[in-house]
Amino acid sequence: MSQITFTTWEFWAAFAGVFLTVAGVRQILPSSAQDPNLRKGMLLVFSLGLYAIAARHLTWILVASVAVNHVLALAIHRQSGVMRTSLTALAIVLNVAGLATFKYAYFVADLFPGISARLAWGAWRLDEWMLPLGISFYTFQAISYVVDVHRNTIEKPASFLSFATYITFFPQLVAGPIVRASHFLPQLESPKWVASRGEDSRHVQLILSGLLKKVLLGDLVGAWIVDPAFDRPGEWFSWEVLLALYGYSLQVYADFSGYTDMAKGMAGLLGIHLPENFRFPYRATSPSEFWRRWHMTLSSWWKDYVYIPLGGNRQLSSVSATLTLGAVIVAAWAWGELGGWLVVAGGALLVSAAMLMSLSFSRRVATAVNVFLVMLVGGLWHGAHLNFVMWGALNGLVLAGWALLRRSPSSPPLRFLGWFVTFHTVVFSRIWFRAGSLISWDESTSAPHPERAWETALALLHQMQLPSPNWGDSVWDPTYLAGLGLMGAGYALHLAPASWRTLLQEKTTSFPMWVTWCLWCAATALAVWCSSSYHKPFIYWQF
Amino acid sequence: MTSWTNARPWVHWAGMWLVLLGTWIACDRFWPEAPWVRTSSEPLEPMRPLALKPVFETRGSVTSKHVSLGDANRLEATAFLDSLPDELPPSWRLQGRTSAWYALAGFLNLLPEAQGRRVEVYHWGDSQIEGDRITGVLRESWQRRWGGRGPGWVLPVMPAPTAATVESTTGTVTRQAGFGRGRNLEALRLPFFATNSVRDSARWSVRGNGASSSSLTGWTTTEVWGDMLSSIRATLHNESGTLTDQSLAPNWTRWEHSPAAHKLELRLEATQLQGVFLGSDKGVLVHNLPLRGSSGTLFDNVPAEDWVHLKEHHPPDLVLLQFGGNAVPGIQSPAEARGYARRLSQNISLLRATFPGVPVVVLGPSDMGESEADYPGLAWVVAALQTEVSRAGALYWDLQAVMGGSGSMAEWADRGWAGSDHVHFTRRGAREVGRRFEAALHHEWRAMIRPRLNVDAVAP
Repeated sequence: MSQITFTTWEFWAAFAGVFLTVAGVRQILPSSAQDPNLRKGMLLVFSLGLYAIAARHLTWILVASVAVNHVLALAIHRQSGVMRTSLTALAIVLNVAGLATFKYAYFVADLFPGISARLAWGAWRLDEWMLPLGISFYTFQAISYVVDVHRNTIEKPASFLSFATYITFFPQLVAGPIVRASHFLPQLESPKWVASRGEDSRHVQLILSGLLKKVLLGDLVGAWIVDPAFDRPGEWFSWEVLLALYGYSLQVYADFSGYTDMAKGMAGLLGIHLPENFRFPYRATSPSEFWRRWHMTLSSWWKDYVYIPLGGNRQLSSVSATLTLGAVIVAAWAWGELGGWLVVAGGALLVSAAMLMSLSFSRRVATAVNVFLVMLVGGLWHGAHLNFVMWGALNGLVLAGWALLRRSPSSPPLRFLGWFVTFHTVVFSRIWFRAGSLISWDESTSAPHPERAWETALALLHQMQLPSPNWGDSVWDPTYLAGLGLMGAGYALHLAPASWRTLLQEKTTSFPMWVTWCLWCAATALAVWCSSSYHKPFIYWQF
Repeated sequence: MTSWTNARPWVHWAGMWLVLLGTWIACDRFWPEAPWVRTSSEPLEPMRPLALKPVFETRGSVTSKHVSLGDANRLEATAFLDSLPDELPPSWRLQGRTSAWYALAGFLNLLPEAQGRRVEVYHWGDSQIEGDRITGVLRESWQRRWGGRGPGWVLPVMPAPTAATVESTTGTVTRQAGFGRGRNLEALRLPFFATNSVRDSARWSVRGNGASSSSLTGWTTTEVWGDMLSSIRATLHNESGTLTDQSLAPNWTRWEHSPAAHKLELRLEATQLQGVFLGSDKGVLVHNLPLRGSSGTLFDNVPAEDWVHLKEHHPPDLVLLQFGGNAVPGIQSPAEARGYARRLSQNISLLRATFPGVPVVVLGPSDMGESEADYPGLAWVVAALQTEVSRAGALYWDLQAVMGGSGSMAEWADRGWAGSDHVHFTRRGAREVGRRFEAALHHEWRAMIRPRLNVDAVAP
């Protein structure tokens, strides 16, 4: 098994082994001998083993992160006052430095071609140490843990075994959900080691529905509708590019939420409840609502550990004010003319004056600025590329504008307008998001290379402005039509009333066991059959 | 079943995983692949039979550019090629619809007229034609037979130096391309889909490379096309001294000069060049326009005013498009190949609408890699181009088939006709391709023009 991927039978065979081992030990041991540490130990060994298979020589980074954060958390807990704050700051700096070294060094190398080679040191090459699997996720969990210890949200630091199990728990290690220690750690002490017989069906169904989501709506729509347009944007008509953008939004949702469903299903079978990560995000009628429905654990993390410390919706902190001032100066400098300087500086002065005169306006501006900064950093978190910064900035601007308006749509037409604007903001900003993984052509060798994300995003935008010829000139071949059909079905399921889904769930849970098993086998067969040709990694694994 | 599933939970779960994993492995191993999974050996659709060539009447007009054929003996003496066999290998022949052959016949009819007018051939292509490869072979042969001087359109900075000119540059001239890596859409200008700009000052001198072909020297018409050209000072030299020394108009300047010029010197300041034309008013001009990294799908992105300018001052009489090689490595399915071919055919349609009656010939991608497995998309692209190019009213020349079919690139590399990358031709290989293409055109000339010539010659 070369990869720890949820779409291979080898992975599921390994998981079945883990599950049956934990369940078997639980069943064999007498109650008095059922030590939670035994369960934690088994989970830790399995988690590290699976991670090591996928990440190989980068596994030590995860181990080091666990060790350092555990030691620092203990130290933070024992100290008080300035020392406590300093240790917390040190922990945050070390975590961010680790992330910067192993994730964002790539960003620097991308901006300055050739730097990667120059950073080689003997057999140690920077590019071999880039992007350890799941580093963004486990680093954020570690930061939340030490900050929670600092804030006393966690009364007592966990034991090393508990903490290591929390950070490395394999169902959510690679791409979340980002779990808080206060939610996870108590579950490790529970006497319930695996799901009960009554609950297991729900978790297996979650796994299978996640797999189908990933394969049918993620991979196939991606392969048939999205990839061709993004790989060679100049060859597709404007409305085909538009359909590709709609397709990509469905693909990324199906891919990520499918992963989350499988992670939740696996964790559930192992007796751990993971928090919800998606709540029908494309039904949102405002940008802020969208981010409360999309990747909820990350949004909540940003809110608690970045947005509120920046001042939240109350005030501009000194950090926000400094960053904003810097942005204003950069904007004025970028304008490059005296008139531009005057416009930017005058605008900044006017806003400052209005903030001084009106507390309400001041809070709106604080919300707008802080939310923009969070989205900007959030873009960078997603990927070490200017495209992701642009994606974060676009979403941040829309969120900031919404914060300034601060009106929730109430009437149906306004709600529809809010939904339309929100959905299309998400769809179009993902031009930059998706373009980050494009392949284009190397002039010198005529070989594909992945370095033209920015240019390709511009090319896509340009392509969308060109007049389209007749519909008959499009690529109406069966796979394209099937892709459109899957896309339509995916959006219909997503936007369908919640009561329909509840009804469907009730129906399926009331089937006799043999019918349920037959349905599971059919779903497995369908997923395997459909994934035979387009085997794609999970999109969020790269983050 | 019910009693079994009510057994101890562990047994139940073990059974559950056994069934699910068994289903997975069984499907993975034994089920037939999904219908959309194709291998490279399966083309997009069955190869369409080639369109029948038009049967030319022995009397009467056959083309939109009908010309009097004149003296039979003169034409026979200036026949297209003398040294190639009468019977062209079938795989070397052009493919397409009847209307496309009529358009080509119009071009072939024009060639004998080239002694009295200019006949221009535009050869746009990818890196395969860089450095005047393939184009140079056609130019040398046609200028020798039908007249014409000069290399045609050139620019100071190209992706690779051209064998058609000898140049020297002092100062910094930068190239912006509207395609490929670091594309700049504002530089998407004709005829090179790229521009050259000078921020401060530079000096560029160019002369025809007589070592490549004697017809490249001694041109009689010079033009400079671009933006902000009024700061440029241009000096034309012949072998005995300076012919002219003058400033340029802002966007376009043209000189006709006698005696012929052998060297052009431009002193450039804060300017942007689209192209410099070194040619003649009579004879055949063949322009080598390499677009490294392009797949030929950007013609409809070019500003309309450039097409108007080209149509007014340098209308093509034949357009050759040699693309596809850059698309092949990224093609993952027949649908993508068809998408690419349709996009290219959309561009062909634009060319045909802009220049009515002008034939367009697409030279398809060469064989690539050491085996078919290297580029599985190649077969799909070729199949799709055969269909779509024909639909768009152009002729298709299957370069892969001309080379010998799938896997022939390795043999070409062994012969020294292709580079070690098994993608690009060497100069010798490019000469071979040029000669084979010329042979294909000669074959058409024999089929279309010579019968008329003979009949006309014996007519009272």
